[in-house]
Amino acid sequence: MNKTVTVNIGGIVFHIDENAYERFKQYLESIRVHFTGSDGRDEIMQDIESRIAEMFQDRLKDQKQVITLSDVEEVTALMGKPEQFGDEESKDKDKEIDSTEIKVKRRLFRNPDDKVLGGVCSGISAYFNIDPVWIRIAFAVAFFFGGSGFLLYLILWIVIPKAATTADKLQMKGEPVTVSNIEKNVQEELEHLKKRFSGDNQKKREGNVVTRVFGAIGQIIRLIFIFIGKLIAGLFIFIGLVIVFAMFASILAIFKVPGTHYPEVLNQIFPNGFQFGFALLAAMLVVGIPFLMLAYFGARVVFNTKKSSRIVNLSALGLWLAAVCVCCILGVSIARDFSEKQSIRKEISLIQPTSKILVLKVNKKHADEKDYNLWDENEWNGNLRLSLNDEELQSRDIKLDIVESNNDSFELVQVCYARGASRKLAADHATHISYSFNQLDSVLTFEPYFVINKNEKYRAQKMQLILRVPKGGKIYLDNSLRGFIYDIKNVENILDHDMLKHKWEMKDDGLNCLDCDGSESKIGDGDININGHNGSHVHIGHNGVYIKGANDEEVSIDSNGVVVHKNGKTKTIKKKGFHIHVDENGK
Amino acid sequence: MSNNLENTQAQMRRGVLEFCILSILSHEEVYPSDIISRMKQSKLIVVEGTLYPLLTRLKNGGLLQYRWEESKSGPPRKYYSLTPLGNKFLDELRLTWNELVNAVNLTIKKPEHHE
Repeated sequence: MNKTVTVNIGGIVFHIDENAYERFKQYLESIRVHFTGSDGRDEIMQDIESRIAEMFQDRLKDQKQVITLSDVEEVTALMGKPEQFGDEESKDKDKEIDSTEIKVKRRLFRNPDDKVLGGVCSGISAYFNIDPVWIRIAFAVAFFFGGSGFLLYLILWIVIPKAATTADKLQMKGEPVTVSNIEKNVQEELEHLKKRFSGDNQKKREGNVVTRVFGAIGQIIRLIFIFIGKLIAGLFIFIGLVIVFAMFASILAIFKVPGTHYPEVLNQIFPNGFQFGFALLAAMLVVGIPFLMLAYFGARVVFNTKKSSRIVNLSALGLWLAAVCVCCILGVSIARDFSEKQSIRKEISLIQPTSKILVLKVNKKHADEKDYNLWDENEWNGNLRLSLNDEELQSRDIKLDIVESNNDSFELVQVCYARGASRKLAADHATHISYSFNQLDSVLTFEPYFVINKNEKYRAQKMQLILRVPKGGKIYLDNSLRGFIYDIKNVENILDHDMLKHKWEMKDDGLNCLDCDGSESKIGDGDININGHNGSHVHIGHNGVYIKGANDEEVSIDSNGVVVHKNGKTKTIKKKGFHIHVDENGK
Repeated sequence: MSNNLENTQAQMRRGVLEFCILSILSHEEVYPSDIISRMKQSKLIVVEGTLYPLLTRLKNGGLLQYRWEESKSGPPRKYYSLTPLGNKFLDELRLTWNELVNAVNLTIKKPEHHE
């Protein structure tokens, strides 16, 4: 019984035994090799193929259906070996190519037929066409230089493939792979085998004990390396799959889990839902494909499938590039929508408080204590969130500054910023911002966020509020303003968060604190000031360190050395170098 | 020695092969298998494979042309014929051949004259 293969020869379908097919393929290959370099090769191949098809067809008359090995042998004998074709011109060319091929096509293999350990040396010597003894001597000498020869040998043993097939062995020796050469080589191998199995194999075996011991060690090391390689590959699979899985899971989570509004907020950026979905898909592909391919690569190593599928590789690459393109295009189009900036300025008149003091607050009716509530924080995505009824987009990108008024009334200025593809569009976006605050005589309550209609897109809208305080006007900054006020200039140079819960008055030189106790941290020019109780004070500046205690003791360390000032006496320690030792008595 | 003999024989055949093929083609349009059967009778060709590279080379040299013809029982066939250039070429070859035959005959006969 024989397996058959279906082939197309010269446009006609034939069933051919598998062994016959192999032989036939070899024959055609030998012709192809023979005519390498002559311009009419394809045509010659075609002519010969169709002639062979004819001959095969002659043989398939009366009931016979399958081309057998004997058919192939007869036909190829009729057709002749390429060496017998004897077309002078191509023959000459053939020879030339052969001689160059010896140099070009030689490949490095381990030679299993002539080996002491792994056949590395004889493989190398075949590659350079020299006697293997010299290479072996070189390795033996290198062995005494810190064993580097041994290590190198092991690495080469692992890296260089064994010449497993006859074709490999021919390539190793730099001989062209033709049918005749293969035949010759197989013949030689058979003789080699015969010799091995005849009388003198006993002797050879004994001589091989050392070889086998080293071979076993080599095999073990090889296995260890392979094991480590597979372990790493396994890790690749794990990482790749976990990341891809995590990505899917998180995307599902974003869409399905209540309370997360991320996609909706993102959605506000894209011109429409379709583009948003498209961008999401593309982003997933851009991230996911490399990891999938990593897993694929790992799987190939683990399961020893050597050949990677080109279709898989190319389509993955194509898909990935397409996804990158989509991301880029969408990114650019979005970026264009953000390219221009425009602001709209609105002056809002305030009711002048009767008491000349204005209390500033932020309305936190549903989020006052919940400010530190994790769930509430989750609702915000950066400065954005959707309102509870999903009707509007809220942004807390608001900053409040307090400056001096140039007349004698409190005024509020509202500046809305937005971006857009053009200045006009940006201004359009800015005017669609709606914001409200509430004034009850002397209490001014700000909303913590401004609102963008859901039909509007998010275009980096933000808001700056400027409160103008007249000279002599007082304000009280409520604690709820935390995070709402930004970089307010004041005479005390106190940081924003320390300005809260204090009364301030606008004077000629700026905002003055009316009830500060000196415990506030201040903004210096790179200096650090820490104020303690009872007048104690630490100053670290670029001139040196200055420490002042509550009872008038002072220590200063600067370019004058260490100066200790206590009870009206001054002691200066001034020494070159940095080794200063002050003992218990102060000496 | 036998190798040498074969080589010489092959070379001799090769020399006249082109001439013969062109001659066959000068009478009629033929397709390769016909040429082969004719030449096998005269033992000029040992294996069929010889013919195809030769035909391709002559065709590429502008001496031959061919046309396709469908075949009832097999792949389409190439029918070859001589081009005008091929005809000229053949005439030249004929001349040379005749001269060569004469020369060879003379050379071969010479020793007999001597004896």
